[in-house]
Amino acid sequence: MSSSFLNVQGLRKSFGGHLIVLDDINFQMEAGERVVVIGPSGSGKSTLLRCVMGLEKIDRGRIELEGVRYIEANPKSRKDNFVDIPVRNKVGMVFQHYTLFPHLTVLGNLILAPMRARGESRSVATERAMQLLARLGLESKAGAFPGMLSGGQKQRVAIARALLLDPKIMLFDEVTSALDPELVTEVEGVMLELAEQKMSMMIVTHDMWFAKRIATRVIFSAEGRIIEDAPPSKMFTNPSEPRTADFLKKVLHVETIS
Amino acid sequence: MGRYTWDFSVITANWDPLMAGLAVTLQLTAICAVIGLIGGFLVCQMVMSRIAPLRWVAIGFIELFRCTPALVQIIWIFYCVPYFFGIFYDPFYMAILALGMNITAFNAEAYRAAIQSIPASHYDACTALGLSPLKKTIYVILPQAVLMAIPVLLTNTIGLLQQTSLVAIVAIADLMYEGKTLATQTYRPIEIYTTVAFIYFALSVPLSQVVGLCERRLRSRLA
Repeated sequence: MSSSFLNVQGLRKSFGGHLIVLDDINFQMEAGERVVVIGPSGSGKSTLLRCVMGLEKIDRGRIELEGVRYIEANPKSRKDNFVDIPVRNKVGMVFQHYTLFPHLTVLGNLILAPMRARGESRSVATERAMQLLARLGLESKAGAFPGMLSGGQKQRVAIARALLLDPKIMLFDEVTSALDPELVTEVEGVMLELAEQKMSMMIVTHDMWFAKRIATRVIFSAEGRIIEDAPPSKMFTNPSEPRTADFLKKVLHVETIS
Repeated sequence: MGRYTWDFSVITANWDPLMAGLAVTLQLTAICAVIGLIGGFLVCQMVMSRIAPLRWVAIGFIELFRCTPALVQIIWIFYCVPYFFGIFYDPFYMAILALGMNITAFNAEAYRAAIQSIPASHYDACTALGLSPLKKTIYVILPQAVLMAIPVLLTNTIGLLQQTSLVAIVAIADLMYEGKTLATQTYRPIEIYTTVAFIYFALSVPLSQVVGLCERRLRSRLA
């Protein structure tokens, strides 16, 4: 069990002690897996990703990456969680609202963390950033400020910014939800490309077709619990749990008419 | 209106003391502006600190200086600080102390508003990028806060320029004080105060134009 690539054990997260968002989550994934988390809003999907990133204080449980514990709750005390920052820094995350820093250019956004958090020299960081931007077809935007980019370009830059830190796993939290429909494909394209390169990913999305396309595994969560965990072929055609079937029927129906 | 015969020769004849006063005014403004830019950010950090006593001190400081007239602050610091605390510097430095603390309080509020307008997701992004709290403050929060706060900081600085005229009351030889002295010496207060007013105006108008320009540029850049 603990030899899993990512191992979430007994994770419980509440807000203010009573509103329980995640309740005793146990979850393992292997390197190279692409796990898509689906479920109704308020089911704790995004919170799960935020806990794995170390953005939320958890009440109980621990999270390990490559067998090393990097987040653990202190159930006895009200103190902050134990966090092993160097290990946590192997996790990368992209958010719904881009979160590019508006005072920095695209290149500035990319090289900030390599330089300031990793101590890389400006020239090395710039060279790596430009290579990555070129791969994403964004090298002409290196000097642009985020305010001048389209939503799709912003999100691709945000992905590049996370990738430049060579993460072992990438977390995508509804990264296409804020985008105009015609811009979704360019962002999903980058993610599919990462999938080809065997990047380990956890993805929260409402787009079931994309989920089916990219996932090696789909998790259905509701009310803070994992209800079903299955490969996409099974999840989307023949789910075991009635609640999963019910949810899929609703969202797929809504999406076909919209 | 009466028939007043303007005679601006009094200005040309006394140009030197007026310019000497202007130099003092500009020095006071420049020094206090710098104090306010740095001090304001520090006090703002205290207001937003996790340590409660730091917050209380900072909030008390801000409210004290926002809720009393600047003129009273200058007089109080000039007369009461030496009496209570046994501190007395050259009047010029006492004026810097008073005006500097005043603008620090107002700038702290400007920074706070700017910092609060930075989306919470930026803090998450910094954590996800592995930036330490200090690096996050220096490279992400401070630059954005300064950019967003620039219009208000400049407006406060224009206010500071006008407020320096209050130090004339404690006999610091700034532009206003020189004007007042000349007015009583020459019996030409109308020409002199008009000229003094024009100088303050001429200094402030370009600054306020810069504020407008900054606001427009920021709106397009940070949208």
